[in-house]
Amino acid sequence: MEQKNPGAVSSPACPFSAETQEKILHHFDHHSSLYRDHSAEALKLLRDQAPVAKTDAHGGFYVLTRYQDVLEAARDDERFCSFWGITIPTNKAPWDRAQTIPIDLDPPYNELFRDMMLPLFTPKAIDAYGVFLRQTATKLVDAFIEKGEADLARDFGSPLTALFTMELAGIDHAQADFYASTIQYGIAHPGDPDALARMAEARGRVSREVAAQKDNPRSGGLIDYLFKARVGGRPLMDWEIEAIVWLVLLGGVDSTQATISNMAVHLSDHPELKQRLIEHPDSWDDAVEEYLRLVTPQQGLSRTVTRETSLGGVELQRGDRVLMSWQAANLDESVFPNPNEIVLDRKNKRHLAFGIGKHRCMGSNIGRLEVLIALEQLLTRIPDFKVKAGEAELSADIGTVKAYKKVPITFTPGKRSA
Amino acid sequence: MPIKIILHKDRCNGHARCVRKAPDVYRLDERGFIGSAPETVPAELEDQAIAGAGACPEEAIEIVQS
Ligand code: HEM
Ligand code: SF4
Repeated sequence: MEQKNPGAVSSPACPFSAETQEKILHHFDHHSSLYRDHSAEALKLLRDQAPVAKTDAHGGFYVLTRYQDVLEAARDDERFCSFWGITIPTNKAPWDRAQTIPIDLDPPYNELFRDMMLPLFTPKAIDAYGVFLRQTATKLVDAFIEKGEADLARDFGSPLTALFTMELAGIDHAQADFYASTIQYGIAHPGDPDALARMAEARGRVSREVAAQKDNPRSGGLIDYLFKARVGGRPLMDWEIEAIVWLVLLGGVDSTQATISNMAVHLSDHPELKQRLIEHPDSWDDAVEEYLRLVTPQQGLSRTVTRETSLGGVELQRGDRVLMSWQAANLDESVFPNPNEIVLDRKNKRHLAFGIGKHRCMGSNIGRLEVLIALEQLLTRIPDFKVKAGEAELSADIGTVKAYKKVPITFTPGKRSA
Repeated sequence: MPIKIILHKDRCNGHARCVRKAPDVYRLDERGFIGSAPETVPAELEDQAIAGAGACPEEAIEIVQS
C-alpha cells in the first residue's frame, strides 16, 4: 500500500531513526505531530517493544498498545476508574463534579444514568432516525452534485452528523454549524486558550438551551426526555441534564464525521476496493466495521489506577494514569491479521473503536448507521469521486479524534435527486 | 449437529448488536438488555444465531454444540 496522505494508515515497517525510537518509547505523546504523521508505526513500535510503556509526557502516564491489556483495563472499572477524567491531559480534578455524564462516572452511578438513557438507543428508535438521516444525506449531496467538486468534510460529513445530533438532542438545526465547528476545533486544539474559550462558550449555550426548554420543551428530543426521566427515583438536576447533552454533542459531532472523512480518503486511495464495494452493496456493513477498526476515530481514552496492581507484567501504583489506545488494540496483528488492510470478510469483528465494557459507546449503532448512509451516498451518487492530490488535510492534533479537516474531491457531475 | 445458546446475562451491557444481526433469535428485555433466546435453535436459524453471538462485543452469548 502506498501512502498518499500523511497519517493515512499504511504498512508500518519501522521507519524511525534511533533517536525517534527513543522519543516514542520513553516520551510518547499522542498530541504530537510525530504521532499525527506516524501513528500506526509508532503504536506498533510500542506494542512490539514496550506494550505497557511509561512516558513522561503530560506529567507521566502509561500507554497500553496490546489488545488484551486495553480490554483488561477497560473492563475493570474497579481497578481503572473514570472519575479523574478520561483524557490525557485532564482538566478535571476529583472534587469537580462530572462534566460529561455518564462517561465521567464510575459504577454504579454511570449505570443508573446509562439505564435511563438506553431506550433512546434501541434498534427500533434507531430505525426511525434512519429516515431523517437518509433525507438529510440526500439533500446535502444534492447541493453539490451538479458542481463536480466539494469538500466532503465541510459539505457532507460534518453537516450530516451535526444536523442529526441536533435532531437527536432536540436543538434547533440552525445551531448545527456552531456546535460542530466549535467542538471539532476544541478537540483538535486541546489546551489552546482560544479553543478553551470557544468550548466554554458552547458549553454555556447548552446551559441556556436547557433553561429555555424548561418552559418550552421541543417534544421528542433528548432534552425533553431528560426532563421527564428519573435516576435513583428522583428527577435529574439541571446540571446533570446539561452534562448528558454536552456529552451527546461531543460524541455526535466529531467521531462520526471523522469516520466518514477517513473512509472517503482511504477509498479514494484504493480504487480497486472502491470498485468492489460499488459492485457489492451487501458488503457495505462489513466495510463500515473495518473502517471503524482501521482508523479508530476516537483514538484512545484514559483511566486512573485505583490501587496497586499489575497489567501486562508491569506494576502500577494508585494514581497512575493509563492511556488505552483503541487504535493500537485495533491494529494488534495477533488479534487482527493483516491489520493495516481493509479485509471485508474478516471474521473477528470485536474491534474496540467504541471502547468496551460499562462505558462502551451508547451511540455505536447510530454512528454505524450514519457512516453506512454516508457510504451509500458516495458509492451510488458520486462513485468516481477522487480526493484532489495532496489536498486532504488532517487535523492539527489527532490524539483524541483522528479526523480530516478538509477532504476536497472532484467527480463527474450528476443529477439532483428531485 | 444442533446448537445450543447459553446467555451470560451479567456480561450484557445493552449494545443490541445481537438483535441487529439475529432479530429472529434474540430478544431484549424492556430495559434494553438481552432477555431471551430459544435454548435449542431450529436449523434454519443457526447461521443467524451464530452471527448474533459473534457480534456481541461483551461475549455475553455462547454457542455450544448440543
Ligand atoms: C463512529 C462514531 C463514534 C465513535 C468512534 C465513538 C466512540 C466512543 C468511545 C470509544 C466511547 C467510550 C468511552 C470510554 O470508554 O470512556 C464512547 C462513549 C460514548 N459515546 Fe460514542 N462514539 C461514536 C458516536 C457516538 C454518537 C453518535 C453518540 C450519540 C448519539 C455517542 C455517544 C456516546 C456516549 C453517551 C458515550 C458514553 C457511554 C458511557 O459512558 O456509558 N457516540 N464513544
Ligand atoms: S450484543 Fe451482547 S451486550 Fe449487546 S445486548 Fe446483545 S447480549 Fe447484550
